[in-house]
Formats: sequence, C-alpha cells, structure tokens
Amino acid sequence: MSVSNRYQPRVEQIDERNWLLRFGDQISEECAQRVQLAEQLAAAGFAEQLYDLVPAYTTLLLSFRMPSSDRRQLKIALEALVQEVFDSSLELNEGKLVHLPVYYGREVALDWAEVELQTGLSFERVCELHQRQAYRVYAIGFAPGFAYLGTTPEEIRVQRKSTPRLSVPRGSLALADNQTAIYPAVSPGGWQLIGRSPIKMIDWQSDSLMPLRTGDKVLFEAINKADFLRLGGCLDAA
Amino acid sequence: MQLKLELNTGLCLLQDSGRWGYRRLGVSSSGPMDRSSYRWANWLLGNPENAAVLEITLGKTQFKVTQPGWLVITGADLSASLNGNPLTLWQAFEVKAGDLLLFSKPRNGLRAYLATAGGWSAQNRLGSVATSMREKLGGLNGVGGAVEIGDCLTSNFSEPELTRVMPAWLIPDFNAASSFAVIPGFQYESFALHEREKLFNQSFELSKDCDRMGYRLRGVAIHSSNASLISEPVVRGAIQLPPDGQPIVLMADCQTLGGYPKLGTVFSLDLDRLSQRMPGQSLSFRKIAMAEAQKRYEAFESKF
Repeated sequence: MSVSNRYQPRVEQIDERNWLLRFGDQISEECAQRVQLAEQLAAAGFAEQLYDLVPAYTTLLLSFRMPSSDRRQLKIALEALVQEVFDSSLELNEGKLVHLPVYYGREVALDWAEVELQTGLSFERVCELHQRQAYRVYAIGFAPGFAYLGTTPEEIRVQRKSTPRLSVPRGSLALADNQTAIYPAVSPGGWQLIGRSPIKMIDWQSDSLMPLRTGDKVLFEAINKADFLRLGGCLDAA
Repeated sequence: MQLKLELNTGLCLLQDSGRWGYRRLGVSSSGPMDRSSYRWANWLLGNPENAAVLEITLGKTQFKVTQPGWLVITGADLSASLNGNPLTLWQAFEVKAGDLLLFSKPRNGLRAYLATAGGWSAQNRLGSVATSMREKLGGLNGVGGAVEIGDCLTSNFSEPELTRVMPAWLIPDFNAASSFAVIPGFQYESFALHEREKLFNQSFELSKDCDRMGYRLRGVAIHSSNASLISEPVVRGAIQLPPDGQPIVLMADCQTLGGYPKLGTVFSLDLDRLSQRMPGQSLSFRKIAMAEAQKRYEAFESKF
C-alpha cells in the first residue's frame, strides 16, 4: 500500500480528561486488531491513570482520572502508542472462540419473511449461510452486553426495518447491514430478527458478566426447539 | 441516621460518582447529573468523595427523620424546609427524630442533592451504587429502582467528621446561567462552516424530551455532510446531530457508542449547570479552547 492512501491515524483530545484514538475509516479485521492492541498497550502503559477505556470498530476512547498537567506531552505519548500499534506485526493472541446456540424457528424469527424478500433466498438458506463462518466481536455497546458481530456474508445482508420495533424480545438474533447481534435484553430495535438464543448475553450475577469480549470470535450453532427450551430459552413475543 | 420517604411526586435517585470501568461492556457510568453540586455536598460534610447522595429532581418530596443525624442540601433550590422553617442550602444542619424535611417549589434549578454524614448505605453493583433505571442497576435495591414512598435511607454515621462552610461566591445561580462553553471536536471539521457556526450563533430551547440520558434541543437545524459514521465511543457532554439537525446533548446515563456525527463536547462544569435547566428554558453555546477548559477544571479541583 502506498503511503499516500494509507489512513493517517489521529490522536484527538475530546475534553479535559477524554482522548480518542482513531485507527482507520473502514471496518476491517486489521483495524479492529489495531484497536485491540492499542487497548492492551494503553491499559498497561497508563494503568492507574485511566478510569475507563472504550474500544469500538476503528476507535479507542481513553478516560483519564485527572487532566494531564502537560497535555502536549500526553499527546506525544499517545502518538507514540499509535505509532507502536502501526509498527507492530499484529500477531495478537487471538480472542477466544465462543459457540452460541441459536434456535432459528420461524415463530421466533419474526422477520423471516422480510429477510427472504430482501435477500431473494429461502429462509433455510439464510440460516445456513449465517452459521457457516465465525464472526468477530467488533464492539460492545448500544446497551449492556450488545455485541456487534461481523462481517456477515454478502448474500444475507439486509437493511434495517423502516420502522423500528418498540420491543424486541430478549435473546433475539438479528441482522443489519454487514453486522449480526443478539439483543441481551428487551429493548426497542430496528434490526431484522432471524432467531433466538437461550444464552444470557449479560448476567449481572456472573463474575464475567458477559460470555463475550471485544476481539472474541463467535460461531452460531442451530439447536432445535426442545433444546432451546431446555437451555432456558423463552418463546415470548416480547 | 435514617430518613423515611413519605411523599414524592418527583424522582429520587441514589447516586455516587458513577459506575466506571464497565463502559466497554456497554454499561453506562450514570452518577449525579450535576457533579459539582454532588461533590460540594460530600465536601461540606467531610465525606469521602465517592459517598452516596440522593438526587432529588423536581416534585413535592417529604421525608420523616426516624433516626437523628446531620444532612446537607446542595444543587437546586427546591424550597427546602424543616418542620415548616426554610433551610439554608450549602450548609450542614442537624436533624432529630420526628422532624419533617420537605422539598416543594423549584426556585433555582431542577435537581437538589441530599447528603448525610458518611453517605447513604446501599449495596454496590459493579463497584457503584449509582442508579441506572434503564439498565436496572444500582440504587437502594441494587436493581435500578428509584427511592419510593415508604423506603428508608440509612447511614451508619450520625455525626460528620467535620462540617465545612461554602464560600458564598462559589454557590451557583442556575437561573442566571444560560450560556454554556463547548469544546469543538469529534466531527466538527467535517461540518460545513456555515452549518457548524449555527451551534454558536443562535439561541436553543430545551425541549420536553430531556432526561438523564440526553437533552434534546430545538433550534434552526444544523445539517451534517457526514451521513454515515462508523459507531464510535461517546462521552457525557457530547453534542450529537441526528438527521433532523436538532442537537442532543448526552447526559449522565448516556449510551457508550453512537453513530451520529458530533460537533463537540459541553465543558464538564458547564454541563453540570446545564443539567439544572428546565424544559422550555433557552440556552446558547460559546466556543472554548481546550487550554481554557483545562484551566477552569483545574481551578475547580483545587478548591477541594
């Protein structure tokens, strides 16, 4: 890649205590790995000075406890961190692979008909393609435990609903653009629903809180209705 | 020290300095809307900086003192009285069993902070007692509930470590504050010049859609040329521009990621004052340089 069309990473100060690092302008595995590496370096390098870190697709937010007494110096340190990320070979220890059971039954795949219409494929074929590959957890946000997984195969990409649902049932497996996700709790939402998982995506009672972390890989596995119910799945409409 | 809530038409939420370290999992930090008033409340009683305080938003709210102790009220002037006698805000006072503490008509600001020696007791959830109703976390019961009629607020301390006096000139006048400093940032440069200037050269009205998650403003629409944005982390104070061009200022319970373009961030101390404005009131923004924002913030910190 020539120097001219390479993305120029940026270090931006948002307010007295928040800084945003930008690693790219396209969603890609490579960019996501850079964000992940930067998060590890920042957590190690700034440790107690940070009170929070929020990674997303192409960006990393660093929240400092106190404003830096010398913000020029902090900017230089953060630019050095970004440079280190770009210079490294990105041979990260890969995140864990998580298998998530999904019931693709039509009674819970509330948008199966619209998905068939938009993709021109049978719903069975959509489900088959959806399970065929592992997805990366690119970001977690929107609501606690909501993991943005990508990227989905071209054939099953669909647009969001023109009018979002006021209430999406907990555990709903959904598609939107090149992303797929599970709704961790009942919430409004505009993604197309193609199934439901019995797994709790956020559990305040568990020590790990979530089965997933940014950087993990997810493989969906179809289960039948009996197993879905046995694992604690719920067929409620909302 | 114990209080029992007897009458309540507003919103009473237990808050500490916030639930930090979990935003990466999509969990909002929550915490007090007006962090400055919250900090002063704890400082006046010699409490730890992070002690739990009750945030009282509007409404008629009455407590009966069931065990004696010390209290302080900061933030909005909601016509607080004790047994019918007006109370002085920003100053510790002692209460005895049977006393009636009443908040009623808002005179200056929207949210009052009621602190007690040692802080109100509640169980930590993810390291904080801050109430997030949307996420069902924190508060007295741990599952995000507001304090309701019949609930008791308890502190294990009856006397404060010390009581301090607030310098009168530091007590904010929320009615007077209508201009708020903004640090330009995020997608600011990608807005056309004449569009981004609209943030600073008009007066906005606070719409009725204002809650702990965000304040929606009404004014001449500001349009972005940046239609599709990859979702990125947002911070409290960030000014989002959805497609309708009406700004949304993100507040204490804001989400962690957002895909709308943003023009910048309301300076933290000014955001505290903004959270005391009421729907229907007007406000305007002015630009502030990062260096000045930082200087003002450091000056604030140095007072504690």
